[in-house]
Amino acid sequence: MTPACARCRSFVADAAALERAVPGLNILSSAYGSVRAHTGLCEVHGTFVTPAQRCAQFEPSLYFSPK
Amino acid sequence: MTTKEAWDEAGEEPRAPEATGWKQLYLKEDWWAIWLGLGLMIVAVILFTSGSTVLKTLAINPGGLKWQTFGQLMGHFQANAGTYLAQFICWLVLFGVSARIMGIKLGEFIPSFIVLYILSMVMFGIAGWANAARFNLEAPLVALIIGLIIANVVPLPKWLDAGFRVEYYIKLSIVLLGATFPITLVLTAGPVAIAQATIISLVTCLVIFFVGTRVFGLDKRLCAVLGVGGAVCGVSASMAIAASVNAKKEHLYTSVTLVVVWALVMIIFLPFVARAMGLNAGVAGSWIGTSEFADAAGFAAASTYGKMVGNEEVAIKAFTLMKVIGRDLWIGIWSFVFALISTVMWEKAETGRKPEAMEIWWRFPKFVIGFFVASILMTIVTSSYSVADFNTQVRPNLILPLVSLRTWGFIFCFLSIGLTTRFRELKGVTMKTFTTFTLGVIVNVILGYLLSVHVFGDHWSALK
Repeated sequence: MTPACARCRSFVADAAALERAVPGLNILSSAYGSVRAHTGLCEVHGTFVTPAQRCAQFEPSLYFSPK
Repeated sequence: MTTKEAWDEAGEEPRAPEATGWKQLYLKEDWWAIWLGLGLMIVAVILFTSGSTVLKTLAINPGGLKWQTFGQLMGHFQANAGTYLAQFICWLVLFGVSARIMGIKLGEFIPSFIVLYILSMVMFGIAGWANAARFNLEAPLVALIIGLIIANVVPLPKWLDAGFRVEYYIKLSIVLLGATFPITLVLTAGPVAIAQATIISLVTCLVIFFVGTRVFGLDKRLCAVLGVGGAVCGVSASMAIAASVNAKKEHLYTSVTLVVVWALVMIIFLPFVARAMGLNAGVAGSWIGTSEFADAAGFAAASTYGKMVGNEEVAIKAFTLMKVIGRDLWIGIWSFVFALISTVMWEKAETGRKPEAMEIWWRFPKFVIGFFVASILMTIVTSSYSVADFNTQVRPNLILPLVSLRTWGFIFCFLSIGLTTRFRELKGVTMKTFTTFTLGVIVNVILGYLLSVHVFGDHWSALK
C-alpha cells in the first residue's frame, strides 16, 4: 500500500499556495481558517483530498525526502 | 504551472504539510481571532477597573463626529494625530505578528495594512459626515463600493492581498462582539435561531443538490459543494465539503464565483428591500442571517440596515444569532454526512478515506468559541453593577471602546471584501450551474423571509 497523501509531493496544504491555486478564495473565505482543517489540493488529480488518502501516483515530498 | 513544477524550477524546498493538532492554536486565524479578541477584552477590563482611560482614548474613530465642514474633519485628525498613530501601531503589531506566525510575509503585509488603515480612516470620515445618512453613505456600503472600484480600476499588485484578510478581521470582530452580547440573550434567543437555521440548512442544501443532479445532470460533487455553500456559509463551507467528496479544484472555483456575485448583490439588495418593507431591525437581521452566505457579507448587510433604521446593535445581534450561532454550526455536520455518502455510495476504488465523526469538531469554526467565552466573561464582569452604574460607568468606559475596536475590525473587513474582489479573476459558469445555485438563493431569501417575518416574527421583533 502506498504512503498517504500527507507525505506526497503533490499534496498542497500550505494556506498561501491554496489561495493562489483558487483565485478569489480569499474574498469571502480563507485557507487559514479552521473549517479547512487539514484539507489539501492534489496537484496530480486536481481534487481536494485529506492527508490520510492514498493513490497509485504517490511521489515522496521533498520535505520528507530532500534532494 | 503546477506547484510541483514551480518547486522544480525554482529549486525551492516545499513547505511542511499543514500542521495539525496543537499547532493549529497558532497557525489558524480562528485561534488568533480568539487570542486577540479575548486579550483585548481582558486588557480593557483591567484598565477599566484600575480607572485608566488609555483604551477609551486609543479606541478613537471619527465615525460619530457629525462634521458639517471639511475643516472640522481635518481639525479632528490634526488634534488627534498622535492617538491615531498609536492606534495604528497597536493594530499593526497585533495583526503583523500573528500574520507572520501564520506564514504571511511581513514585507507584503505591512504596506498592505498601511493602505487598509488609511482607507479605513477615509471611510470613517465619510460615515462621520452629518449628511451621510441622507445620501445612504453607510460605512459598510461605502467601504465595499470604494474597495470594489479600486480593485477593478486601479491595477493593484496581487501581493497587496496579504493585508486584506477579510475572514481574519471579521472573526476578530465577532469575538469582540461577544463582549457586548449578554450570554443570557444567547441562551434565550439561541434555540429559535438554531431551529430556523436547521430548516434553512436542510431545505436549501437538498434543493440545490437534487435540482443540480436530477434536473440538470450536474456532477454530484459539484452539487454537494454548491449545496452546502448556499445553505451554510458560502465558500468556507464549500471548501470544507470539497475534501469530504473529493471535489475538483474547478468545483470550488465555481462556488467562489457564484457565492461572491450573489453575496455582493444581496449586501445591497437586502437592506434596501427590508427598509422598503419597513421591517423591524431584529426581523431584518434574522432575514439577512438566513439569506446571506458568508459572515463578512452578512455583517455588511446587517450593519448597513441597522444604520439605515438607527438600530445597528439589534440588527447585528439578530444576524449573529441566526448566522454565526445557527447556520455556521452546520459546516462540520454536512462535512461528515457528505464524507459518509461519498465513501459509502459514490466511490468505487479504495482511497484510504474513512469518514470520522471528529470531522464535526475539526471543521467547527473555532472563533465561535471565542464569541461565547467573551460573552460569558463580560456578563460575569458586569453583573455586579447596578443598571445606573452600568449606564454611567461601564457602558462609556468599557463597552463603547470595545464597540469602537469592533467597528474598526468591521471596516477593515468590508474594505477588504471590495479590495480583493477582482471580477476579471472570477470563473465563467454554465447556465445550468448558475440556475441551480440561484434556485438555492431564492429558497434562502423566500424561506428566510417567511421564517423571520411570519413564523418567528414575534421572537425577532422582541429582540433588544
